[in-house]
Amino acid sequence: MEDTGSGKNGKDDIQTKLDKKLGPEYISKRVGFGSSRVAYIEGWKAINLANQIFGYDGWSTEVKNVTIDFLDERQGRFSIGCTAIVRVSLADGTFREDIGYGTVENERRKASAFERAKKSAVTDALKRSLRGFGNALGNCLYDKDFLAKIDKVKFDPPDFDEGNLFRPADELSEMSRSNMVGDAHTEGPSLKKRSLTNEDRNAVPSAPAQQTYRSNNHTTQKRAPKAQAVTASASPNEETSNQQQDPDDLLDDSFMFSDEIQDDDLLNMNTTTNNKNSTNSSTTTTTISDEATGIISPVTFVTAKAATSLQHKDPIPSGSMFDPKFQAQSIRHTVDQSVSTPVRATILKEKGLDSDRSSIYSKFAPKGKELSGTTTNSEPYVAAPQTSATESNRSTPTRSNAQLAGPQPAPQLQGPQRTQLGRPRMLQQPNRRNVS
Amino acid sequence: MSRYTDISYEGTSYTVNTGLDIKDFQIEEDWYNRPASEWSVKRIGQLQGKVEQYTYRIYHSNKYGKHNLARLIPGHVLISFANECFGYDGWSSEVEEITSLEHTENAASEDKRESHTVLAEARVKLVLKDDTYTFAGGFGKSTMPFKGEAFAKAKKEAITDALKNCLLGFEKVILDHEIKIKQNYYVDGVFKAEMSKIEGKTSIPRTVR
Repeated sequence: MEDTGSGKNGKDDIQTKLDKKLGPEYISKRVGFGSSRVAYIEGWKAINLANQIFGYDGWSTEVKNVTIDFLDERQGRFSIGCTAIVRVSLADGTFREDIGYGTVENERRKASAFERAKKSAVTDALKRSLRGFGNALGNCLYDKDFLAKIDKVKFDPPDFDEGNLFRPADELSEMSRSNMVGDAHTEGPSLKKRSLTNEDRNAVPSAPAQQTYRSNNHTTQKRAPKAQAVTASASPNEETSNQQQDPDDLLDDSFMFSDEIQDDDLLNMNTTTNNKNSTNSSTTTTTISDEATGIISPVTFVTAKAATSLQHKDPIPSGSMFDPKFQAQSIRHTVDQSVSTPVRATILKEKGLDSDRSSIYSKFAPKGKELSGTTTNSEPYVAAPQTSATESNRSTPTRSNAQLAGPQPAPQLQGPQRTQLGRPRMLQQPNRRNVS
Repeated sequence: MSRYTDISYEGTSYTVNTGLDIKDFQIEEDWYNRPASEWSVKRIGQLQGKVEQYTYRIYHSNKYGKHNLARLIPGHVLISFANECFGYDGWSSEVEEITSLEHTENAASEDKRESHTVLAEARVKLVLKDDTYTFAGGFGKSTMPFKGEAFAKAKKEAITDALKNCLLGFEKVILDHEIKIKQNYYVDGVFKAEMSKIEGKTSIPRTVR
């Protein structure tokens, strides 16, 4: 070992960093076995910490071994468990090795099951190996007394700092954009469009070099009345407006294909194209209620019938507007459908449903297989047959029934009628394929 | 390198014909369970002091009787002791072997769900900065409702147990060393530095138990 002055200092520095215990910012909690809460550190945080402590070139990892412990098949789905041994080496040759474990349940394909299990096993092993280096890399998370105290330590939740992101600089994109426009589009409309966007960007007073979302809002607000004016003038005769917009739309596409595009430009363009598209497609539209104040009301869906009234700024009847909160009375609602959250096991228990699914698995055959010991269904299943044009025009109630219900038995279609209809399509019913 | 000649054995690889054991010739000094320098003797002593301090109250109160030390000290405590004594860059741990010995499925009964019991065995090698090294084995057993959980817990337990046994096994290493020094057991010098230093790693397979 070379004991140079800086090396010694660096070593002591690392040692003092490693001896410190983790702050609450790094500690996550999850529900462990039973009702206990388990503290853990996320993989990316551990890697960030290791980079901070050892330096980006101060440590390396090596997956020494991955072993698959078991592979179970149930109902055509695979559960897999695999062990990974990972070695974390430092620049001076010191290393720690540890194992990690990963499991994946009910995956359709063996390869992807293994892939996912391997990934989590390696992350687990990496974290466990890193914790061997000291408290700051997760060893303190095993200390129960420490964990009891750390809950009381207050910390400000990590703020998303927009000003501190690593992004392509504004002038850089300006240069590349001008290059690209010069190469790809030398004709008139593109230049016109470019100058237009430039004008718009210049029109924003005191826009910082890095456009934040707030300033974006600013630009869209300024942009909105302009776009609305265009649509208002274009609405009487749609033919001409389409012709006018075509080159612009093409240009927008060409802009979209570039990687170099700035986010704020893209946002601006999206708002303009959205506004224009709303006049064309007239199924989705943004309702801009108050132009004078520049406040944009939330986006809703309206029916195609209401689109014309929207274009003429007539009031839209409430029936033709899409209501996302609508709840059908004909269905019994068991869960709150207005929010999107996973269904908790406690709710299932309240409703009297068993969380253990093994009894359900035995009831149904997996895809492409059949249950052993089931009696074959004597009723032949016939799907909606391929009907001729005249048949479909008549639209008899039996046909609509068959269409709605899908593979339900439709006895009306049996017998002489079936032979008239040509070739009936038999549904692939696993129960029908009698192998005995 | 010898003091009088310019011949260097650095990077030399030694091989023997089949039927001969390369260990018999003691070409590369083996520091298995033997301190390679004054540093490791001192640091292992420090570690031992910390361990005894930690276990004193439990171990010496007759309430519990004699226990296996590895069961008294949590793994994280031992790891932080090792980091304090040897330094974070003073020791390395290596997983030699990890196997699940048996796996039994406990069928679901009236009052219990289905569960899995897994027994795992691990061997861990622990190397200090001065090439002193030791081996130890460990076991882990766990019963869990899910197969993957049972495997994970048993194997991790086995690894932790083995690592603990490694660190606690240094006590015996130091005691043996003192006895051997008293009895003038070593004829080739007590520590590594007193011998001709072998810098380059020879290609001798380290199959020492």
